[in-house]
Amino acid sequence: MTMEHIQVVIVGAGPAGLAAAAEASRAGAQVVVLDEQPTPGGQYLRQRCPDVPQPDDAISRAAEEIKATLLRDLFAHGVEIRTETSVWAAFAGDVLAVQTLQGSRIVHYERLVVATGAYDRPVAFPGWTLPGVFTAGGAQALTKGYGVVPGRRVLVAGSGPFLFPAAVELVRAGAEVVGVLEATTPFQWRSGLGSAWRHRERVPEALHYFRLLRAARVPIRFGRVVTAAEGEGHVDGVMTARVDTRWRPIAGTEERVAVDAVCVGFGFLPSTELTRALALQHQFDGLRGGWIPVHDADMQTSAPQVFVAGEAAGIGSAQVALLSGRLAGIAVARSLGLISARDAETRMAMVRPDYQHARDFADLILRTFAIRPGLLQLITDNTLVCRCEEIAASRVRARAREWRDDLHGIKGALRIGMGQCQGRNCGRLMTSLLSDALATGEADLGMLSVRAPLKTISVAALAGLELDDE
Amino acid sequence: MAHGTFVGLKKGDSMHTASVNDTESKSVIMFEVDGRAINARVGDTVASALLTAGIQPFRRTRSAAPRSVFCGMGVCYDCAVTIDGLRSVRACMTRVRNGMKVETK
Repeated sequence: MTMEHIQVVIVGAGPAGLAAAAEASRAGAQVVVLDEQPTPGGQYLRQRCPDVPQPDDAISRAAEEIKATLLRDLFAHGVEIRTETSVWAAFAGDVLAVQTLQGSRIVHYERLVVATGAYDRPVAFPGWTLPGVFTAGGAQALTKGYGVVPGRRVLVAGSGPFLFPAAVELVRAGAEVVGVLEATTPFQWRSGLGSAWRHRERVPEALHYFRLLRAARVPIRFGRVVTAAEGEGHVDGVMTARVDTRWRPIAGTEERVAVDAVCVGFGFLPSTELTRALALQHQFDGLRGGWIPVHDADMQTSAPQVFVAGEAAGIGSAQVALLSGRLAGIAVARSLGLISARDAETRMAMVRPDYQHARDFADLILRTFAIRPGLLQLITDNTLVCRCEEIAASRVRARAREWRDDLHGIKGALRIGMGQCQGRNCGRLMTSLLSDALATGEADLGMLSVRAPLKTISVAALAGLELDDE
Repeated sequence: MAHGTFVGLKKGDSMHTASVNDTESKSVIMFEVDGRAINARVGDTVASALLTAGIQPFRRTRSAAPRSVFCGMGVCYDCAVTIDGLRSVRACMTRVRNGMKVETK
């Protein structure tokens, strides 16, 4: 197998990756975008299945318009988008190993943009591995993309503004949404109200979702969380409870709700497997999702040929992702000498004010709905922390006493984070549990390492690779 | 639009309430799940097709615990199935194709 050479590889075809591709290709770069999903768009600009009706409201129309414009741009500039394609390893010498259903291949890049997005922050509670428990993002992917409901009677729970569009898509797809539980209370939002005024243009969007949920008679309850999912082989109900300001469940406030699915969303974590595999410098930013790759204002990382964009650079919003993608794409074009520093500066100057404004709003939202430590009390000794290797919380807590803050010692001893999800689910849960048990800051525990394959690959795919020198 | 917001809303915007159950699904893809013929729509992933067909769970863990779709976006591998002999393929990331053979556990 010969190595393929691509001038600019962009990993992730969401708003960030597509925007970066648009800017870099407009300047004349040869760009290939890789994405794991069957269609480009990522989560926010998700392509709907042909027979899933397109909602006829301004928000959906605007998203469609953005996607259509981006894709038109990309095709006009010869950008190739390869879907159902996973990057499973990064090697020295600017080489990636890439897998499709057909097999593996190696790709050499001159510039790399990591726009791998984010995923729902895992929150463990008894029963969270039962079929019928979905992440809010996962439920939205199913309803929005395929018109498939995760259940007939569904509860949506967690915190943050994402719960509302997720619930709206469930209603659209035909589910009965029995309620939305938001862990914060509006009273707790008061400290952000001062700066919220500067973002008043966002109010109609919020009201839009509230109106839709009210029209569908979906009750919204504040200061309440899901504490357990119950059922034999499948969810048949969930327990909920009121929480205090630290999100500790309050005894005596429990209620059981009969549902066949529950969608849980407590914000997002950046997908940093690739930036970690590339051994880039990272820093801990609790507000924006934990360990994130260090980058400058033009999205360049500690490796000069590698750029980041979107949620992988720190949790923000679809808007932040799109605008940071533009910055990264312009920076890539400049670093390849395709546009002058002066042209780059002119183009970036058109993006930066909007980017900063969107970034400020995203940070305000992140502060308001940040996860609170009381939720860890939901994790009983029998609750699985690692879904892949089926490791219960009691074992993590016991090891914490023994190994103290030796994250890698615990990982090795328990094999936690070494299953198929590569720690995407259990990693952050484990560090939260440890930091709670040891009263240490999460940043002080260090960053979990990753090892190839980042995504499960077959032995046949490996055998097809020739890693010998050409 | 000020500060690059995505949207501007007009009065009278309302939710499109048509559910997929109301629309006539065009079942034009035929594939096989554990030897059983299943119909799917163009654009379906293996996961969306299996959920539509009511096939659960997708797999069982070493301790025989049932698992199905959890993250829906390729992160958790709970929906992993065997596709055309290839093991541990994420159902949520794989588009259904004609004649595909899917095995759950």
